[in-house]
Amino acid sequence: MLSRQEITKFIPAALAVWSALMLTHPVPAQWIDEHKALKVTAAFLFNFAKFVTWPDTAFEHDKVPFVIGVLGDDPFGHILEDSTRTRKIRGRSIEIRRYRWSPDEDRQALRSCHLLYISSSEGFRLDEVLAALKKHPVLVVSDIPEFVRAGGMIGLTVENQRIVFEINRESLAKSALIASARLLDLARNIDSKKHGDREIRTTSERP
Amino acid sequence: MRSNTPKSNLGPRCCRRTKIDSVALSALNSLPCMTAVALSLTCAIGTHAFALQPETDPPSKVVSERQDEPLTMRTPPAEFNGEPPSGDSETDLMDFSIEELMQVQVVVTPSRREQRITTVPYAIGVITAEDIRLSGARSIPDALRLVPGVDVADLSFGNAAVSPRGFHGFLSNQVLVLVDGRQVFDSLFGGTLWGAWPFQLEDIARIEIIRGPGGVTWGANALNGVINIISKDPADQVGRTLTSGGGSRGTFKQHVGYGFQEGSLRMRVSGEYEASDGFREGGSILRNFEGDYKGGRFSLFAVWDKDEDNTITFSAGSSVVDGGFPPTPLAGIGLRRNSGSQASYLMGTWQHQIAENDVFGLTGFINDFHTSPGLPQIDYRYQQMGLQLSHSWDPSEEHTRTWGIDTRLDLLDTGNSNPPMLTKGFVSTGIIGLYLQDEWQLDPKWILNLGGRLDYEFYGGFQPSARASLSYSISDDAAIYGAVSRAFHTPTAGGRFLNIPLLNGIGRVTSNRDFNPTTLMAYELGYRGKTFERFETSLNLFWHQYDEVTTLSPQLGPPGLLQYRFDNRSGNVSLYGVEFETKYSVSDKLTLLGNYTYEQLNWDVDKPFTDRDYITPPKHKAMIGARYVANDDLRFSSNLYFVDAVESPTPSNPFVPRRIDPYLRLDVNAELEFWEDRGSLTVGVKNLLDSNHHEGSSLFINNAEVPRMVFVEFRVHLK
Repeated sequence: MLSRQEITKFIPAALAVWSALMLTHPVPAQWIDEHKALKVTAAFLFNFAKFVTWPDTAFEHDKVPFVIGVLGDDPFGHILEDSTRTRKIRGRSIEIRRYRWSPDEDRQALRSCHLLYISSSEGFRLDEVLAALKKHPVLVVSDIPEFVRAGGMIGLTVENQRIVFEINRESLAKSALIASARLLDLARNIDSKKHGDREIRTTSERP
Repeated sequence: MRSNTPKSNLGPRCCRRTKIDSVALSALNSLPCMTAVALSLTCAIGTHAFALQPETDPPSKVVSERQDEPLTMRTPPAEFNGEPPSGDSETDLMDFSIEELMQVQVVVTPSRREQRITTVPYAIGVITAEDIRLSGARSIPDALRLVPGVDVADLSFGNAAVSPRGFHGFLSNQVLVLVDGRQVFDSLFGGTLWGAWPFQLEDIARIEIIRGPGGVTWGANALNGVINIISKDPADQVGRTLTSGGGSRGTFKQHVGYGFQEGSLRMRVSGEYEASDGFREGGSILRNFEGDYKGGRFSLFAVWDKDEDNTITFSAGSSVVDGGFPPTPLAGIGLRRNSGSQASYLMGTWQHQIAENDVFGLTGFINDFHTSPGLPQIDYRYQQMGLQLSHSWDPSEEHTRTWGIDTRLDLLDTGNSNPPMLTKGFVSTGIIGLYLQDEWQLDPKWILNLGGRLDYEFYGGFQPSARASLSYSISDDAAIYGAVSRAFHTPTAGGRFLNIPLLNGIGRVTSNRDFNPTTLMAYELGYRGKTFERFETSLNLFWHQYDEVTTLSPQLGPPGLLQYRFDNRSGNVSLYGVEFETKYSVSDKLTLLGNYTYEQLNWDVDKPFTDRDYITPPKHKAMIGARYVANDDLRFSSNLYFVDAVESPTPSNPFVPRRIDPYLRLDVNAELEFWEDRGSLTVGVKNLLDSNHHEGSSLFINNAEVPRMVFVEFRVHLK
């Protein structure tokens, strides 16, 4: 039978070994292959469009193209046009548009997008941008940090040297967009894999 | 802290022992070695994995795989002048599936990652839907084994003893169980009958467990902790879901669900039927074991986004169980009827956004419950009606304030019991609580939380609760906190009027009408950290000091020959311990999990701990788990649990507790996905290492050994 003395002697030793390893190991420095990351991001945008369903009201008729917009400083250069030139989304041709935010400008043009990539240059006015698009069927995607927590729909980030994405289901639902189960399964935080503040607030705090 | 009084009056040892297979015995003896090797191996693999990363040149110039194209450091997007990529590599990526894209490496600069570890000042565990599926858990208590600091013991197929930080038993009532914020506990004894409510694992998004008092936020009964079961958003369940499975002991479960979304409304309805012959080995000379279970469940969950500032949810459910309570030998000879229960609920919530960070919430619920656990003298029904209001806003940028009012009315009817089980056929009580919580961000790294609450219950009068905590962010990836709390447990109104005959009238359960609530002072220290993106760890130390504990102690004398008296006991009671949890992502394919809990109970009271129908907390408890993703469609998982020896009540001999030997339990699982991930087949074995073992026992239901169980489940989800 296992004795308590054996266990009580072993546990502090194991914790000490673990602590030493955790606190002393150096972290190596590494760099982003930005060009590659942009190509991968463009491919992600294309795939998000394939696995999200828009309401019928988002398209006036069958010939309306699928519009991918970029708001702010465009990091893609020619990547988006070159990669989507010969492709279709749900039978529709793809059109790329670029926008600059203006406080006086009518938001209708922005809301005519089906998928909008928000550049990191817009980080300081993110709340304003998201408020203008709230409840409209525009899939907003960005790699601005904490994008999903701020109310964005799909946030891109780098983890373990790879691009992963988070989904905010509530924002999607409010805009009548439906993500497929496959997309939801692959999202990093759909099942609260991390102990994020947003999920834990449910029990440790009231609404 | 008080000095440690080592006296533990648990009563004389019971003569009955349970053997452990030789395999389990040798595994037990080698557990320290195995664990040390496993931990060392995982650390070695982790450090070696990092050692394999290529050395990089100084930051001014880094050469890419293509030698003629130097990479630049990450520049602001406006200065990017990327060349149009070559057609071939671009086309390749555009043809990649999402899963393949997630495997493409783009090397990262750690200093630019903004990942903030949570500074929530509670010992929190989260069990996700994926955790539930991969562990092969057949019930919520089963899934709760994954979290450190929660004591779980299977008593029969439909019953389990569950409580964070000790005091677990069939009638444990020191943990508050919530479903989407709705309280689920029994108006007679204040605990949760896990097999009686319509919990459907397929509909659970996650389970959040707070170890330690949650008194300020959730009031009475959140003494040792809070277990909040959170349903999936119907948007995640759009389409049709069917699961069908079965296994050992005649176990059979079938679940059907349908979810849809129409504009701003989304809804899910689901139904489930579960049946089993129950665990087999058990019973005593006084009574054979009858543990069969048949349960039908239904639930509905709807969310309506009325407008951008208002969200309304509605949920309802019902569960009918035939059987489920193996009748206790204490009931007496010959006195039995079919056991069963019915549980139903309705709940509505309204969340109103007044302004940015200014949210108002209103919740109303009704619980209706009826049970008779196979004995004519125990038959009761209750309704609970609750109305809860809360408001949270930011008076300033660094300050968040939350206040609220909780009310609940309990109506308990025992008129069907024969002979009557209470001195009053109908008991009603109400409770009102008012609370206020403040959180201040003192500077970027320090957060102070202060909370106070006052509850008033019709029989128990006023009871205050309070909590103070301080959190410190060591870095973006690590935080520590300290907390002091005062919490209490409100006795149920039914518990004050007990008069239950046992053993054909020879014995009787009685209670002191005016007994006091048990109170708790708790002190906690916690650490949470994430290292190298791969290691997640949390460590918690706690000290609980209890006052006015209660026991249900047997004594000889009137009324009848034997009386179980439910009353306060004086004495010195404390519990202290350590909870440790870690998760290591060895690679994209392999994840290792582990937890360890140490609990030391000091029970210096003139009546044994097991008199309360509790099982003593195991001094040591550990879990090691592994998850392996063989490919996109196939994954394996296994969990090895160790639980130290405990003492628990003996229904056939109420004066002498029994010893439950330490056990090792190994659960293994394999899941195969097919039909473009629409379908899955899961095969698993629970308790692989031995054919059966005891985990605990109770005076009020008959006891069984937990058997080895094989199961298979088929699942399909169609949009």
